[in-house]
Amino acid sequence: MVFAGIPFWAAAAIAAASAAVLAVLHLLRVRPRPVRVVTTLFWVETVERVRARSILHRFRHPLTYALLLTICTLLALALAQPSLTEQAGSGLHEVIVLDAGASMAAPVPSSGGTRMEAAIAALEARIRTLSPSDRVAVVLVDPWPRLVLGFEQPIVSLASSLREIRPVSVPSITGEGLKLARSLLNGRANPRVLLLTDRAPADAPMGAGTDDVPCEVVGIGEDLDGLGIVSALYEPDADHSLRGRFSVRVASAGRKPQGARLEIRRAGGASLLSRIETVEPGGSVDFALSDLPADGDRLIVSLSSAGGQVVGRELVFRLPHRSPIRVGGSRWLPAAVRAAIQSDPAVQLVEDGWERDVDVVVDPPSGTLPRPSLVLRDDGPSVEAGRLLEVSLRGPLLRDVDLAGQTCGTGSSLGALSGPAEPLLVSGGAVLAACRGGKAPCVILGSALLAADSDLVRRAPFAVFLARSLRYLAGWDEDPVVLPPERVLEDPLWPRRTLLAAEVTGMPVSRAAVDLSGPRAGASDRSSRGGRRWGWSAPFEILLALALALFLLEAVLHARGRIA
Amino acid sequence: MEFRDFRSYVPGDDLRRIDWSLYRRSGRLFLRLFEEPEDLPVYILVDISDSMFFEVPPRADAGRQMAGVLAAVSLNQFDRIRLYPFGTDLVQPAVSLSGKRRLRHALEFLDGLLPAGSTDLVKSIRRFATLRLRSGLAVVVSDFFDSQGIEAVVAALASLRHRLLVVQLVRDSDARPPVNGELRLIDCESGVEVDVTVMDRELDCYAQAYRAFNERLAGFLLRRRAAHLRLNAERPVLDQLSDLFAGGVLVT
Repeated sequence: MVFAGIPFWAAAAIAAASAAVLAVLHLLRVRPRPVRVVTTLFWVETVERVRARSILHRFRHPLTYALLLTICTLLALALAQPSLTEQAGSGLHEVIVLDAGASMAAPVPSSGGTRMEAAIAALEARIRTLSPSDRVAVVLVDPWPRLVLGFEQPIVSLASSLREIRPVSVPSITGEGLKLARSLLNGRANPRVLLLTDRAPADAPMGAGTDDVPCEVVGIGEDLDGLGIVSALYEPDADHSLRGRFSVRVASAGRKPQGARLEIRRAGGASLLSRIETVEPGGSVDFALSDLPADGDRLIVSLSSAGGQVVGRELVFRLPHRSPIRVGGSRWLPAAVRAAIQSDPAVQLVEDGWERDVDVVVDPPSGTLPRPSLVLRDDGPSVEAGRLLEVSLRGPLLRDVDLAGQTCGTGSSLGALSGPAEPLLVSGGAVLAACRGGKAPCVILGSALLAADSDLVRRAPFAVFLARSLRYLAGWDEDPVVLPPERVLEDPLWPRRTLLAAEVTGMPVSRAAVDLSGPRAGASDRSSRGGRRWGWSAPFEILLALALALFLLEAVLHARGRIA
Repeated sequence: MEFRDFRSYVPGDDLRRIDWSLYRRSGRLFLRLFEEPEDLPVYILVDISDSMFFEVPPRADAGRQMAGVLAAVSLNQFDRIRLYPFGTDLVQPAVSLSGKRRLRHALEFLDGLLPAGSTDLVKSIRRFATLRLRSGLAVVVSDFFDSQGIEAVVAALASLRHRLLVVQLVRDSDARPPVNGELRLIDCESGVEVDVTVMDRELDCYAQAYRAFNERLAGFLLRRRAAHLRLNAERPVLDQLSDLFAGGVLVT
């Protein structure tokens, strides 16, 4: 027996020492207070009468001590949560392996939920059938195995963990889960593994099913023999933010390899992809479309199988919508600056008509600014109007971009002033200014930058900085990410790349409802006991309540003089 | 023999006491009543055991005051008094006094009494009973807390051939002591220790035992036709005496 994590003999020694301390405290507590009285004649008679009237009075001190010991023992039991370790003849040790692979997201028509929900219900039903002497652990495989509930953990803590379980987008590695289960059962009495999976029992890995550790597989959902779309994903290209890669993952839960035919077409009817791939049992295949523009169009994904059943046969996917940044004022720009702007594929230079239908305007400096602007000069920042563009060396626009020391026209170089904005400066004029007003935001390049001998505009960091500024002014408010130095341009959509879950529609055939009443074999003897398995939380509360009740009883008895 | 009064004749009276001269004058029969003066010996036994001096104010003060009052009354009536203090035993020789002028000596003697050990009322009374004394009035002033119990005390009192006046010195706390909790009660005289948890039930039992003690003493004295005074040691003695004598409690 293990008591509060320490061996039994140590617990017994501590208990004996505690009992001795309690005995001393009890003796100190019941030690009578000496009082001199004129006569004890009537007190002798009183004591004889009281003792003759109450048997408990003779044992009041031992009774008080026993009550005190009981209260302390109950409190210790409640707080220490003793548990039985594995011993011969003790209860069952069972590890329940829960498959949380992609196919577990498929619906179960008979129950209206998913296979994952059915598996969780089967797990809870299984736990209810265990006897109080049994111990259970739960391993979740999503896709790698991890321990959700240990043997020594209270079962009540499992409820919150079960609520957070979601199927992953890839097939689970149940074999590793069974290995973990077997390691958990190493050295324990009456080991047993229960695998809850939607794979057919014949296909389920039996790595843990050795002579020492029997393994039982409970099938979740219908007998699986089909394909399904488990996920769809649009990933923008790293080099071109307006285009990306669209991929659809098809998984198989059948007993044998199946041929999956996937067709992707635009909602308008144009077919983009039609391909047949062989999917291995328990595996998945990605169907991908590259260089797909993020134009907001809808894609229709259809899956069919040569012979098996199809779980999710149709998917409607809406692409993200991205349009290029239209930059005006290009007539004034030197070729080097134009090249720096055009290095970002998300930017489109508008050769003429820069005052209309543009997102950002690039201007040379002038005596009077055409609109409220923020101009950065060498004599310090002056904010005439508009919102301050945070051009901070520590800000996101200049993160990992080093412009200091770069030659910028007629031998001048960049520097920085300390201050809240830390504007970029060059002697003789503004390097860069940006403003936001009622019209299109504006970028003003200083005359030094526009000089023919400006080396700065030919550098990659300047292009990064300019691209970030243009994106910022155009409303692409994604925070730039830190990219490796060789990446000149960064992808604003990259940090927001998310899994676009597929909408699995339709179930082609109905299948037998899963048996949620518990394990199919080997558990009938235990389930017939009908005992509810108690987590340690319940005894904790009960023991604590008992201790408090006894404490109140002791107080009442002590107040009424029944005990010392 | 001194003439005291006349009273009407009733059948059965001694014919020798009829006043025939008065019969001749009035034609009615009257008897002559005579009174013979007698000095009644009064024996005052005063408890001076440790228990009488234990509390504040001590019961011994009330007891000595009571003994002084009785001595004053007796000496004023030309009775002879003898003062017998007692504790573990009767203190002898006793002080014998008579005459009004000896009251001062009696009071000085009482005032000089000191604690004399534990109470052995039975032994003291039996010792007093063995003394060859003329029959008189025996006054016992004590709290009657004898370790041998009230039965032994009653038996000892029953052995006295004197008329008996018992002055019991009590306190309000005797019926219900102001103690509570886990106590080791120590007898102030014998040092006997009694461990007891004093709660309401114990106090009720105590009160019951004390009540039985008083009832036994009072019942004996009633059967003996003896006088019984219960004097509260915490109140002025003279105030209580006026109340007691006015009520006719004292019978001699």
